[in-house]
Amino acid sequence: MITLNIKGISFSYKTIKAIEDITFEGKGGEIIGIIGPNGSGKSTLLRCINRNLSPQIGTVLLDGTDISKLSRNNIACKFGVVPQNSIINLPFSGMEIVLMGRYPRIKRYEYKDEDFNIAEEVMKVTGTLELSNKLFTEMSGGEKQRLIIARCLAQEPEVLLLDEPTLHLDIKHQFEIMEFIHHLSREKKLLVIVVSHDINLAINYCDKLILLSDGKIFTAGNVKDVIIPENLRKVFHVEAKLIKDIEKKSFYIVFSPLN
Amino acid sequence: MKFPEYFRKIRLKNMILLFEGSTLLLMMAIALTVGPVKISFKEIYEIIWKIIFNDHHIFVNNKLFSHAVIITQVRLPRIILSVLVGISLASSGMTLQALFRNPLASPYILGISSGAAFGGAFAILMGFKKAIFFPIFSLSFAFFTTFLVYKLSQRDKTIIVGNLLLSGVAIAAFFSAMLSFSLYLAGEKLYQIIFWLMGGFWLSNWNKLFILFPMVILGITGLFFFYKEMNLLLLGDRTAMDLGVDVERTKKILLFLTSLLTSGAVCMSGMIGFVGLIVPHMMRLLIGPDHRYLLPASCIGGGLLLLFVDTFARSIITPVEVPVGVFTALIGAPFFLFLLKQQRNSQ
Repeated sequence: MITLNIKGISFSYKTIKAIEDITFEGKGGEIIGIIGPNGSGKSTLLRCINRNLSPQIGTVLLDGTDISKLSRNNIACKFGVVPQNSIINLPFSGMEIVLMGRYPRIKRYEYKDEDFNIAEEVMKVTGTLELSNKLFTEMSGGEKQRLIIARCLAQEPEVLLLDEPTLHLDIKHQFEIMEFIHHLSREKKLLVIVVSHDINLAINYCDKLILLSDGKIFTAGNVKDVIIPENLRKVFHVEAKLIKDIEKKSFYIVFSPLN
Repeated sequence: MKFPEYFRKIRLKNMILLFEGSTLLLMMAIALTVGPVKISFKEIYEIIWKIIFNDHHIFVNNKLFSHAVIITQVRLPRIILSVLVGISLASSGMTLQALFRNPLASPYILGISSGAAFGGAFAILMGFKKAIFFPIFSLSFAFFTTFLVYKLSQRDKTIIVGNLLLSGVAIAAFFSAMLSFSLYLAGEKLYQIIFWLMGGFWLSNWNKLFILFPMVILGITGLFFFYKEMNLLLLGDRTAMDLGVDVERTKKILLFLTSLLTSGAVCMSGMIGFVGLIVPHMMRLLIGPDHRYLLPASCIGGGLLLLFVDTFARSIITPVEVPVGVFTALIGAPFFLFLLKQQRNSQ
């Protein structure tokens, strides 16, 4: 099983510090949620994990290997990324987009049978098989998001990095995608790191949470240790009320403005 | 068979490429018969046959001999040259469009063409006698221009597309001014420079081909190695990076290959505009945005377009020739405006 160690990474855009001294670890089969207000550095942290941005200080170790020593192509074989929004204004078909996920793993020219088998499999599990001939420019927000997740899975990653995967989806599809990601992490022993604005969705599906405030970890750990009204009030500057759901043995949060 | 629709499309794309390729070969054969001197297909066939088998009877028949000279020394190099220049311009236009994610990009916008043109004019002006100096100067100025534009548009080790376009425009303006100045100084060489700049293939010969051919082969082969990277660059730098592209390195290599192809084309035939704009756009409509198919389609399409325009230009008002650059600009400029309007509407 893979392990990921983030050790004291800091990143600045020119002179503006975006994240500072972030340390945490995760292993295959876990879902780690990153939550925090706007501008707290959630997306920056996610991009630093697969060196889409290179942190000025600190290291990221995957199974003990410093990933700054790996080539971009090797990193793409280990980390799959679903960005917040994908703007593609060219008429690629769904199939073509998914097959691009195979690029890090194929030699120069030909797709092999294996590549098509994997494409079929990931399109089946994401429910995008019927989109294979549809043009990306003609898809709805939800269809695009599921297709991008399919492309990401076609990379056969060990770590899945998701930046607000449910942003453009309606409630039913939000649950569908999260259920699916949950299932995937258990089944394939993937490590999933997901940035989310939706605290309740994060509570429902994540094993661990990292609460960011001003680029630093405010608190991190198990869900019920992090989601404490006191913490949320300090970080988000809103009133938060914890409501227990006895039937499902879980809880959720109701927000209201700070008095 | 899985994904029947996908494979049907792939077969269709291969068919289109095959059809395009054979059209090009056919057009080249037809273009051999076009010109002020009427030479029939049968005669051309006879001449080529005799040359291949080194049959010296060709020298006995005076008429056949003169026709053989026209075919081998005038028309054939000209046809091949126009095709090669078309290939270079269309493929470099396509590459720049992938690099900028913008269908309006072309070698002219970057200022590569202007740089190359000034280099060539400079070589003529300095009165270098050897033919090889001309492409060398043109090439080095094209590289210099690309390097300059690239440096100017860089911030924090990333190319900012807006900056790249603007510095391209500025540098193109600068080299245009330098070009005007050298025309002013040119004296009796003025005619030679202007004729070259207007864009045409009337001075074609085998020597030019021997210089251009390796440049085109190197450039196109290089581009074929980067078809995946070009596809991914269309998805944005961030996504390209996430899918394993070393973005900065790839951009540098692509810019290098583009300036190689463009300067080759410019120093052989002057400023022929808009081929790099029209052809990739048409081909994208025909065969889709996947560079695996778009690259060969654009190459063949570029060759076809320039061959067609050149043959037309040299036969429309015989024996006078209209510069090819004039024709492509006449078609291309309205096309550019059409694209611009379309892009505005979609925003």
